Amino acid sequence: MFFIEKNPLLSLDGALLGRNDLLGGGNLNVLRCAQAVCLCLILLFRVFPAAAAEGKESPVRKDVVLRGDAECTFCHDEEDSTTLLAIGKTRHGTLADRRTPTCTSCHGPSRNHLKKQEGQEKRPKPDITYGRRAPALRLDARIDEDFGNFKTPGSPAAVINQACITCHQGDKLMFWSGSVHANQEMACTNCHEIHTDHDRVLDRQSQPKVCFGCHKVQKSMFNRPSHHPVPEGKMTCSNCHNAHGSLGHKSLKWDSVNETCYQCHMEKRGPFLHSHPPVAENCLNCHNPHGTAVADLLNHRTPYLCQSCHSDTSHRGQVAGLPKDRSTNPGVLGSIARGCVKCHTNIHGGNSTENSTQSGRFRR
Amino acid sequence: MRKNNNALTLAVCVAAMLGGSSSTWSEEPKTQDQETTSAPKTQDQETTSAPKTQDQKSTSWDMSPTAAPFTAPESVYSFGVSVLDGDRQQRGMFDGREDDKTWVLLDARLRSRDDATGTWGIAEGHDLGLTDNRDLLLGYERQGEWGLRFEYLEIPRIAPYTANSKNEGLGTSKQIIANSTKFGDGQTYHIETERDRLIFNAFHTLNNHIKFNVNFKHETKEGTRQWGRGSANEFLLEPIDYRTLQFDPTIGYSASDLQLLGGYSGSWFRNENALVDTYLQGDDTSKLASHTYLVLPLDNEAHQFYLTSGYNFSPVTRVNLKISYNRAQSNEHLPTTDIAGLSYANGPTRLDGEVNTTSMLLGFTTQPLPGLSITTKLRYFDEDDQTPGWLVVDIPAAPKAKPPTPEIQVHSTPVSLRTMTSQLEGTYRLPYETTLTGGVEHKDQKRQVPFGNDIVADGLDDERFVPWRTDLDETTFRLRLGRSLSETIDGSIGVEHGIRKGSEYTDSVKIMGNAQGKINPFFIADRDRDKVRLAMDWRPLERLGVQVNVENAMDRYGPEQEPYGRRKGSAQLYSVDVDYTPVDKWLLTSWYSYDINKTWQDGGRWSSTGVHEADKSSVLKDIGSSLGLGVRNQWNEKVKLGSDVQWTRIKSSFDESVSVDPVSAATPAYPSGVTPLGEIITPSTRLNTFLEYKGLGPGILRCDYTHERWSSNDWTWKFSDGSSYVYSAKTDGTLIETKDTQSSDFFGVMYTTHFK
Repeated sequence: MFFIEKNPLLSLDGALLGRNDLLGGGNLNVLRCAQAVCLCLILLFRVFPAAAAEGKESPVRKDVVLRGDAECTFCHDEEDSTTLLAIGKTRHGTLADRRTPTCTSCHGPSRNHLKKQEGQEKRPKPDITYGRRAPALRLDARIDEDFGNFKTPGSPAAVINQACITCHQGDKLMFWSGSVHANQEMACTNCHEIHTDHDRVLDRQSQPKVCFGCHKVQKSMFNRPSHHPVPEGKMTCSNCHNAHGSLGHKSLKWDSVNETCYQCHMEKRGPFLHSHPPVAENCLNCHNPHGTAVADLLNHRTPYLCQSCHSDTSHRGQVAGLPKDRSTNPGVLGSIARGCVKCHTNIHGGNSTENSTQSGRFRR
Repeated sequence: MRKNNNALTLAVCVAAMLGGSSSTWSEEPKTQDQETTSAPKTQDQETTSAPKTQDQKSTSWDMSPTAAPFTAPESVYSFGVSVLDGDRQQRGMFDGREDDKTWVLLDARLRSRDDATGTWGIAEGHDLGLTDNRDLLLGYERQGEWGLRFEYLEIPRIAPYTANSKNEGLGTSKQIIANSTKFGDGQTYHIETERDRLIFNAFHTLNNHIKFNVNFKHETKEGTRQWGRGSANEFLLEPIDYRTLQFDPTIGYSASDLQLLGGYSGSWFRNENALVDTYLQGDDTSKLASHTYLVLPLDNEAHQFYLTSGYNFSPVTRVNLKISYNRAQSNEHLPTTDIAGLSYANGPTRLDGEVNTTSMLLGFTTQPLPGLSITTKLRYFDEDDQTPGWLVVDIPAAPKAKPPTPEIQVHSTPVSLRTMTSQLEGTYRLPYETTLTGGVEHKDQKRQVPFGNDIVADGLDDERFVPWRTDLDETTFRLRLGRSLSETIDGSIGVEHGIRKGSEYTDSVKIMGNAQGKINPFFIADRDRDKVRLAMDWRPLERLGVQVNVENAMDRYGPEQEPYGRRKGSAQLYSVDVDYTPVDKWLLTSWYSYDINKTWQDGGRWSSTGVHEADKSSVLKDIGSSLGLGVRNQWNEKVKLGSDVQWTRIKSSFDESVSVDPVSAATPAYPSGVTPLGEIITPSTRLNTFLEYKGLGPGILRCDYTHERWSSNDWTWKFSDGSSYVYSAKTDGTLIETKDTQSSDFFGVMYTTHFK
């Protein structure tokens, strides 16, 4: 019945008569007859709506992509925008899954958008809009890999997010409420794209570029010579972080930094016979996982890194310097090659029982 | 528009006739002109719309033939060939493309869906033509009901240098130092590891509310990495042959107001090697003193049980809770105890290591007033190391030695930490599209190592060399103001101030009263931290967008009575991103970022007998600059081309001043043969140009050319005269060689086809 409320004559014209019949110049009488029939049908439907509903030959438009999308796809069809119809390619468009939404589930009933009011020059937007990527970036999806996630404004983030949260709660999204991104009024669609079967933020190759759109420090760190293989597409930000929030530090997926690192570096987990306390406490004491200018993601070169905790006699206080050749006393070789860990080679923890002071100093 | 759409439809039909394929070009994001027509139709437009007959306008499960091509899942595959000429050892560490190579390009992303049942078939692969950098994903699932997923991933890591060594058995459990002073005439070693990861996932959903999920991961890591013998400047390769398993079953319940997720997470680490025996070539191996035994990471495992939940008390009030218990264990036989005479007789033969971690996390969010939201979090984290305090080393006193030495004992070092963090944050939406967020976070930590406990008779620890604190307190205040100035400008400013204090440093006979022990370990030192962040998104024109970010952070360490260690740290970042579309079919993009990190650190130097020789003060700087430029052009309907260039420069400097103590003025600031560190400057440039052509069949032909340059005066593997690093002058002539200037050219041709 919707189309009758919307524009009955036009709809019926479209439904009952071919456009070529209307405009092809043929027989005007045919046209007039058709219009008369239309008017009769309109009257019939308005007076006897039940009859219309039961009619097998109902001209009611059927859905195109989603359940109940007819009122939207009447205008937003393949001639209007293939982008919108692409929702059909996605999980949202998998109709066999009865949980999937229709257009108005996410965009609101949008009555004003559906029926332009008299005197309005421009049709109001739907109740909930999500912004669009800037035109420059729409030209080439690849171009934004080094740029921000520019979007035209949409509805307030809280409104957008509520539309998503209505269905997406629990599991990885359990802690969205109160998360850093939620508190900073990030909308789900700042990162996710809905009307595509290739959401960049779910792709290992392209996800980091989405994150770098805002996280410029991290982007800068990944340009350092030593970094995790995120730019190479072998890791993603979401391997360690849950952008939807966690109760842990820095939205890490696990409860502590070390537990996060142990997912891939389990050999560092121990427990060890000889623990190195700052190692056991927090890997970030010595490493920056996003990238540094020093090999092995170290925050600083040795001996500076070690000397930020160790101050004592002998070689521990050595100056940082370059030896002229290999005959230099090994006690001042803390700056080059592997630095201090040339000798303190099991620096993450040792399990040697050798009855020697060396074993407790991570040399064995 | 109609003509275009007809053409579009025709293209789809033609593509279908050509084998069910249709080019993505028909579905590319629209240009400006196209976008203007995507608004909802006016009445006039509607009157001229093509009429849709009942047949044409049907449901998606009985879909309009003209709409169907745009609503069915799409697959894409690419194939081609590429050639790499030159060196890119630094940039190719993780992608297996480090030098001259020709390989097949093969990527695929295949999707199929049975609309009647909602069953998906998924196959996805990248770099399938490379032998050590592939990844593959296979999935089969009925959406919302059950699913299976299988993933395979290879991650290589290739050191950006080579080693030339005459040492024997490198990377094995018996390694022999050549005991030769010659260098450069040995075997060349490429030092690399490779991870092979298999992941299996399955899920099943009941009644849309209960979901069973299980993840299983199996990973091997094999190869070698640089290692050392512990007491000499000698080259070894650590044998790496790891196998890790992870098993994570969960059960979840999700309803509109209550969500629950409970599960178990088990992980096992297994190392095929436990011990490496090393000695010098020619030494009498029958003597224990000839051997140096090195212990590799031993097997360990962890078992965690957890429950997370979320409950909506009202549409604006929610509580989250997570409780978990984790037990990490390592109890493998300690391999060095098998070596006769090596270990303390009463020492442990197994570690019996156990770390039990209990965490409870509680979150609460609510909106007591319109526009005001409040978040509180409480976090309890107790990491209790139950590993016994083994006496591992016990060397009797030698009163007749010159000089006499006291008894030396070394115990194992279990570390326990208990941390309680509480956080309160409120966000208030003010008039004029302004949002104000304020918060405070407090962290209280109890820290325990076996310090001053009964393992030392006098109550003072004589084993530690670094000061320790048993309590830390940190409070952080945050404020953020965000405002949407108009439909085209968004901006925000955030400030943060944190104060960390701690208990008195714990006494140790090694430290107490000695000037050299007066150091602030940075991770437990007093610290004042300030941060400022500015961000702005500005789109003055539909065709022009600008994004600006500025960040500044400063740390100051104390207390002053501990003169050594880090004194200050700072970090700044400035970045600008711009995109501009001067005319249709042209796109220009650019970005620039500059960041600088500084650390101020003081230290002292003493002779082995404790005579103060010098104090030193260092300023360490790390500066990064990056510039990126890009251009795209849609030349005509068939040709698109573009180019990107990125330039990056990293500069590290180490300004150290050494003040020699007049008492020991005979000791020079720098020992003989040692010169101050120089700057390290690492510039790199990457130019990529591509051309896409659609005119050969249903797909797109793409040609890529990439030129990369990388250079560095990094002295990590150099002596002061610039010569390559060589290990010990007495026993090991292993030579490490790097390529200071690397340049490469990549050319690739790839054909990409999309199909339904």
